Amino acid sequence: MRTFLCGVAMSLALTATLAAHATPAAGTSPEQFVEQTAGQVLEILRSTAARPDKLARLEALLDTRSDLETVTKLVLASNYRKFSDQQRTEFQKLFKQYLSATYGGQIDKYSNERIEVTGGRPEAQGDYTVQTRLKRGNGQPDILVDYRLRQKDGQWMLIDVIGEGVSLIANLRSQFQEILSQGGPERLLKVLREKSAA
Amino acid sequence: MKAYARCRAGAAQLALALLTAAMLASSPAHAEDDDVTDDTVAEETSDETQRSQADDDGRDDGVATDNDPLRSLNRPIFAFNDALDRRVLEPVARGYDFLVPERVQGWVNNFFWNLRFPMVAANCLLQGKPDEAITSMSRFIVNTSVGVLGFGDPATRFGMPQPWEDFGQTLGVWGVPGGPYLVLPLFGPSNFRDGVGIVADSAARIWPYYVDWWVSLGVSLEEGLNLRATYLEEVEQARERALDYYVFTRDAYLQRRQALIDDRLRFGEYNDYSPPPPPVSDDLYTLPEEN
Repeated sequence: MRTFLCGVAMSLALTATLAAHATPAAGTSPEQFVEQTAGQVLEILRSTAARPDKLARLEALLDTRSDLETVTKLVLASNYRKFSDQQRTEFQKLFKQYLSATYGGQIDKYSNERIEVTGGRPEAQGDYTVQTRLKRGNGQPDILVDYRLRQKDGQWMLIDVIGEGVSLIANLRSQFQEILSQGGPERLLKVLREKSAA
Repeated sequence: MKAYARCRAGAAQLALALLTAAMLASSPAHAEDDDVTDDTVAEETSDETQRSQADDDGRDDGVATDNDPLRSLNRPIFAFNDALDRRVLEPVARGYDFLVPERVQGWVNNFFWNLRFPMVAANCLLQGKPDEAITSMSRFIVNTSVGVLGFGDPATRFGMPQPWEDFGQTLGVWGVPGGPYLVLPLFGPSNFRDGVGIVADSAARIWPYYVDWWVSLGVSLEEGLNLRATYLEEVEQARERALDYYVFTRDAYLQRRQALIDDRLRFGEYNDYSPPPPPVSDDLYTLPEEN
């Protein structure tokens, strides 16, 4: 039963993270980055726009706030070498579609959430982790969400979301690893194609 | 002596449940999930290759694969649990969710959490956290009285959030390794350490000693049903999203348990609390070589 919480955490965390338009100015602190991004996400979620419109705006935001290339490499880890250039390009495209299709599908369900930054710490490799509490209201328990950021061209970019102690990168990496061990890159691409088409 | 008899009855029920589950798991229950079961066979061989490759270049890609040597046993049990959930538990929980308002479900969850106080407090002490044990006890007193038999949770609002310690975590704090990942029939994801923890903690459930076994069973079913109803959407989403639901669950379980052992998660309002960083696993955030 405890794993259900992980499900909650991960779904809310990622939905809340499909990030924002106006790029934060250079020199923005990681905490400010998360606060601004979260604010923009919630603004989109609360807007009265139609669903596809909301989703498109969230995706555009996510593009500017997360480093998909780094995320792609991290989730594939040393399996990355087994992918040809063409497969890498396709993987990145499908991976994005997968995240959007699966996590973006639920955007209607959130609107009352608030995010409170509770702390942060520098990490190895120049990364920074911002700790937040996702307040869901309605008497539902808060969810602890950490955001791991890495700088790219002087801008903080999101590279991982850790909901209730569960890292999305680590979780996806395990799943990808399993599928890759069954049938290599082609099989993973096939599974992703099916999943993101749904 | 009555207590002893209860224990025996409980053990017998558990044994029976496990046996039934094991028998069912071996045949048609997971026929529908053939996607999952087919893979089990295929992956055995390729996984070997994978592992030796990883050894060759001196690095390990697999995150949790080493923790799961019993996968060929775990997969079918997982498929069985999943099938049972889809066919029985989830439909019942949907009906329950329709009938019982969310607020009431929250009360019921509070009530059962409150009853776990002896278990939580004992494990706080075993882990050398007397302050948490005191919080746990204070919570029990406040919630049982002001919170009307534990249905409410005023303690959290009074700044006494629920500590969550169980014997599996205690063993982890003591340095006992998790051992292989284990999927228990009906109970779901676990490992050897947490399996021992579940048995030990059930002994710290005081109230079942004082009621007849069928009452105890009924109450436990209600506890499970209420919990399942609370997480209807989340489970559905997880199933939908997962590329491999078995691996998704395994990894999420293991990561979360580790976070609990490391005290990286705190519930409720700990405004002045800053959790310790995770143990160094920067491997996760190291970019792979390109070629």
